[in-house]
Amino acid sequence: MSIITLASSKGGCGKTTVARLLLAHAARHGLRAGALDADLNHSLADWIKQHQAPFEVRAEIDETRIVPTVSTLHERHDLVVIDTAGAATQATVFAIGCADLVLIPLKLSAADVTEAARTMALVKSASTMMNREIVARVVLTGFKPRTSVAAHVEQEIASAKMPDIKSRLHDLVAFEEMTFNGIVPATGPAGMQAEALFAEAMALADPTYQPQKLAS
Amino acid sequence: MSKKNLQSVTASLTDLAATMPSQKPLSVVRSAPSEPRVQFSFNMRKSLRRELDRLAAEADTTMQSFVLAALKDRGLNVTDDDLLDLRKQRPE
Repeated sequence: MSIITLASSKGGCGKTTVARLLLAHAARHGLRAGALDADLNHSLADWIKQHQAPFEVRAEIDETRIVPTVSTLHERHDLVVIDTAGAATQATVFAIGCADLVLIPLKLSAADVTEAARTMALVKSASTMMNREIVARVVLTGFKPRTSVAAHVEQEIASAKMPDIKSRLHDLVAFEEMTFNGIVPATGPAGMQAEALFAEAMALADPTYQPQKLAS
Repeated sequence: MSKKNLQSVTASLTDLAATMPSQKPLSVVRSAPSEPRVQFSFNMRKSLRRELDRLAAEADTTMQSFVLAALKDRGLNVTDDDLLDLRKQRPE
């Protein structure tokens, strides 16, 4: 059904965190979710295996294998999430080319904004070469509401005309704990933010997608 | 479930991707040995063998490579080719 690629040429901006949230919330909604980890550090694949999360995951850094692997995963799953390395590589380009939606996470730092803009430009180049629009949105992660730095970053992304996901992922402990205990927040502020992000991302990736009502 | 056609992705993006670095590890090209290789074995105490095994593992290399490196330190003409850890060239 949908392929969502997480990309940014900046490391540590939250790509793998967003990937984990999307996969887990897809499963909560009854979707079959699969993942391709194209990052040299294979943090997503390790996390899935370590916590025996119910997702098929493939780790693949060879750029010539990205498209065939995504194709295989796509045959078996409703949602495929591709996590990429924190650098603009050949694998990133092909992962962008496969996507219905590219999410570009960024934290509240100048380097994150700069690299997000570069990645957005890369998505536009790929769109031009493929002769189709690849929808891309920045996602603010590690967000600190009501701070001047948050307001500044929001202003910067608006000035750069980078469309954003309206849901913010705040700087919450639950997102950090998830990396250790494998428990993806489903309730509380972190759960609500993750759910809102998932809903917004799915609406962009597949406008025909009808979310299943969750039992609270 | 509809199957997305991703066939065109590679063809469309190859030129763009070519401007980016590859993530693939460079394969080590091993030069042909300039002289024949021979087997060499000798006896040692079991505990010494275990210690050698441990030290090689800590150095993340084979015992052969570890011993040859020690011999190189003693002045033997050991080449880089002799020290190659062939385990790291095997496909997964």
